[in-house]
Formats: sequence, structure tokens, C-alpha cells
Amino acid sequence: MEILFYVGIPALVLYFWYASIVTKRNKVDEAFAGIDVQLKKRTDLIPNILKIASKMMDHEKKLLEDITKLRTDVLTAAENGQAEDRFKLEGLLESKMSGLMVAVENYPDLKSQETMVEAQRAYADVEEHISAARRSYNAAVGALRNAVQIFPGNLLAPLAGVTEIKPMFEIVEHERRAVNADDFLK
Amino acid sequence: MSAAHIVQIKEDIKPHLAELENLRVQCYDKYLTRKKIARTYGWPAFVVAACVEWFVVTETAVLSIMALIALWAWVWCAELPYKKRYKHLVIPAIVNSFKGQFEFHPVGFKNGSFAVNQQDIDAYNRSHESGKYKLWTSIKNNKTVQKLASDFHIVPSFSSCLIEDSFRGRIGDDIFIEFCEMKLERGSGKDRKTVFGGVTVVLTMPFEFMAHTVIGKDGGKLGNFLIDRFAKLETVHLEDVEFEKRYQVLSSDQQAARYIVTPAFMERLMDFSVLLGSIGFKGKLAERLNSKQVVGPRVECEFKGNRALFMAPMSADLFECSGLEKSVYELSDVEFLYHEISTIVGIAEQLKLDYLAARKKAVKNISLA
Repeated sequence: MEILFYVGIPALVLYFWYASIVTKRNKVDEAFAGIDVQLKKRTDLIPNILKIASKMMDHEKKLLEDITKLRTDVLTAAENGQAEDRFKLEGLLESKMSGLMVAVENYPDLKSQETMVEAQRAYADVEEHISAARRSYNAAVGALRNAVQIFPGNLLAPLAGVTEIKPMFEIVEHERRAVNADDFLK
Repeated sequence: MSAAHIVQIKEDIKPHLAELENLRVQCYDKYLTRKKIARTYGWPAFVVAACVEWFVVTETAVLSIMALIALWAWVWCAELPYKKRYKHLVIPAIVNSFKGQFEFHPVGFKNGSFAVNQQDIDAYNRSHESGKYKLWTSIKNNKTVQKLASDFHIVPSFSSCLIEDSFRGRIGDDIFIEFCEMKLERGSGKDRKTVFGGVTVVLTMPFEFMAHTVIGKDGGKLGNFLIDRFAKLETVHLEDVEFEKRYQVLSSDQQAARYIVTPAFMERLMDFSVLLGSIGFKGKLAERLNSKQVVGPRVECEFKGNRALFMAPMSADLFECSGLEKSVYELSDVEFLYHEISTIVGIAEQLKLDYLAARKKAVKNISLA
């Protein structure tokens, strides 16, 4: 009876800790896939926005072409399973799209068009979803890190298949700098 | 309050000012008479009765204290006909100035989230015609509010529900708002306890929320742990430390919860609480509360289906004029009432839920194009 008490309870605690690490690991994978889903939605929305914008933005042909090319590259990287390249390209695409949304300010006729207003709102909605997905992913990674770094999680982590924790989503260095609006409003 | 609104409301109220002022003077005279009686005879009678009760009958003065309270309620009730009549005439004029076909009823409407029975509306109409008003319109076993309690986590369980001052209308083209003053009580007799007293707002949105999300009071470490274990919803840990101290967020989907509860939303909700903190109070107290940026009531929210429910516990009695001392012609109460109503009507704009509705509509239109 005493052996059951002194061995059983610690074993039970270790088991629940192990199960918790496995659950948190799976949540990180789920959250990571969630970002994917939202990025795909953005990629699908971009042609609609470019169609509306291209009718009036005569001086932004290069920007529109860059966006079209980047979108194609993102889709290719996704199909080939090149995750690192893909997320780098997604970051560039996001930056170019932000530039496009600011450049719209130079075209008052386009800015006031109902379709362009709706396109901007739809894009803003997709960006909110992406932001929510990233925050969700960061929260899942943070919870997994806590579970793995606190003893005895560091001993149980290899058993639970957690040898390496995915990094939190962070923006690249140049995105931390203040934006110079003059670069877009020419 | 814009100048155009002031002009319109004054025009609508003008025909009733003379009648209201006469009623105010009558009620004020009655109030002063009753107050004089209470002071002259009430206090001495209380002292004698309390002594007799304490030394002769029982060793408490409970009955005497209850009698004293009843006496002062009788004094205070003198202002009731004026306050109710004021509300009946002035608030409809104020809500008419809002865009969006706003309606007001001192009790409630026959349909909607806070629907009341026809007999309760008829009882109010009878009391209005006779001038003999009740303090609250007591509606026990209100089926619609019970349905609200079964659908939404943040509505506490109750045995009786008191509703007063119901409003409804449209914000923009798409959002339908209903709100009322509500008091929920549990238990009976000596065990009766108020579990909620304040404003309840329901927004019916033109889209379905992607998940069931609850923003409730923080229950402390143990409380939150227990809720997390037994509720079907998961705890959502957020980035804002102040917000996390005040609230606990639960949801059926972590990502969908973060889509609604953005860092900006958390700030706006806390700002809205501060805004609510000073409404209902008038004069110097309102100024003091405004200057100290009082934290305000903890507004609880729940997003489920296509509805958003907000419950704000308020200690002040809302949508009431200040009393008998001020003349109706001063019209300062009109500004206070307008400020109270517009603060609550502005909830969708304050929390940018109107912008969320516009974005959802745009996504739908773009995908159909």
C-alpha cells in the first residue's frame, strides 16, 4: 500500500506532465497550420485587389508586377514544401501590399471607389486573421516552452518527441524601424 | 451633444414643459410636507418605538428600523410621479434625435432579447394613467431573460428579474442594439441577494462570430484554474497584463478569440469601462469621477452566434432626472440623459464592432465578385 502511494502518485504526476507536453506540442503544430490557412486566404484575395487597383494606378505598374511575381513565388514555394523560403516571401509580399494600400492614397478617384474601399477592408480583415493566427501560435509556443523548461519537463520533453521548439513569430529587423511614408507617397 | 440635437430635442419637449413643471411643483410640495411630517413625528416615534422594542418586546430594534425605512420611502415616493412622467416625455424625444429608428419603453417590448409580457406592459400603462407608479416593474420568471441566461455564460443564475427602461434601434445599416436596466436577484425573503444590477446590452450583428468567446471577470489563479478544468471553453492567455488582471477570456477557438480580442480591443474595452464609470452620477460627483479616471465597472462580454452580449454592473440609477429641486425649464437633465444614452448606444463604435461588421461585409462582397 505504501509503495503504491510513494511510487504511484509521482508516476501519475509524471504521466500527466508528459501528456501535457504532448498536448502543447500538438497545439503548436495546429497553430502553425492555422497561420498557413490565413496566408493562403491572403494569397487568394490579392488578384481581386490587383484587378481593381490596376484600372487606375498607371504609375504603379512596377509595384503591381512585383506583387504578382511575389504571389506566384509564394504559391510555388508552398507547393514545393519550402517552408523557410515561403515565409520569407510572405513577409516581402506583406510589405509590398502595405505599400500598395498606402499608394492608393495618391489616387483620390480610386480611393473613393466603393470596390476599392471594400477591397481595402477585405484585406484589412485578412491581415487581422493573420495577426490572430500569429498571436495564437506565439501563445502556444510560449506554453510549450514553459512546460519543457520547468523541471521535470526538461527530462520528459525528449520522451514526448520535443527535441526542438519552433521559434516564436518575430518580424525581421528592418520592419522594426519607423516607416517613412515619403517612400510610398510620391 | 451637437447643437442640432439640442435644438431638435428642445422643440420636441417644449409642448410638455408646462405640464411637467406643474407636476414638479405639486410633487415638490407633497415631498416637503411629507419630509416635515417625518422629521417632526417620525424620529421621535422611532426613538420611542425602538426603546420599547429593545427593552420590553425583543432585544433588537429591527421592526422599528424597518418602520423608519418605510417612512422615508413614503417621503421619497412623492417624487416618483414626476420622475416617471419626466422619463415618459423626455427620453422618447432624446431617442428620436438618434439616427436608426430608436425606440424607448419604460418597461420593455413584446419581442426581442428582453421581451416582456403584454400584461406587464398593460400594468405599466394603467399605473401611468392613474399616476400611481411602482419603483421597478417586477417581472418574475421572464422567459426571454431566462433564455438569455441559458445561452450566455455571463448571465448569472437568478430567481427574479426586474427590468426597466428598454431601448432598441439600429446602428448603421447592419447592427441591431437592445439595452435595458436590469436587476437580477437570487433567493427569497431574508436570503434574497442581488446578483446583478446595471445595464445589459445585446448587439445582433450581420454575421456569425467564428467561435463562442467569453470575456468574464478574473477569478484569481484558483478560480481561473477551476473554470478552465470544468468549462467546455479553453482559457485564452492574452498579452495585455492589465487586461489579464481584470478579465479572464474563454473561447472555443484560440485564434477566433484573438481575432476579436485584439490588443486594441482590450484597450477600448477598458476605456469604455472608464467612460461608464462616471455616467449616472451628476454634478460635482461626476466631475470628480471624470478627473480621477475611475476604473469603472467591469464590463463582461460574450460573443456567440450572431449576438454580442455586454453586462455592465452600475451602482448609479440610470436614465433618471435629478429630482424635484431643479426647474424643468433648466433642461440640464436633458443633457445628462442624452450623455447616458449615447454612451451606451456608442458601444459598437467604441469597440469598433461597426468596423468589424463593415469588414465582414466587404469580404463577403469581394468573394462573390
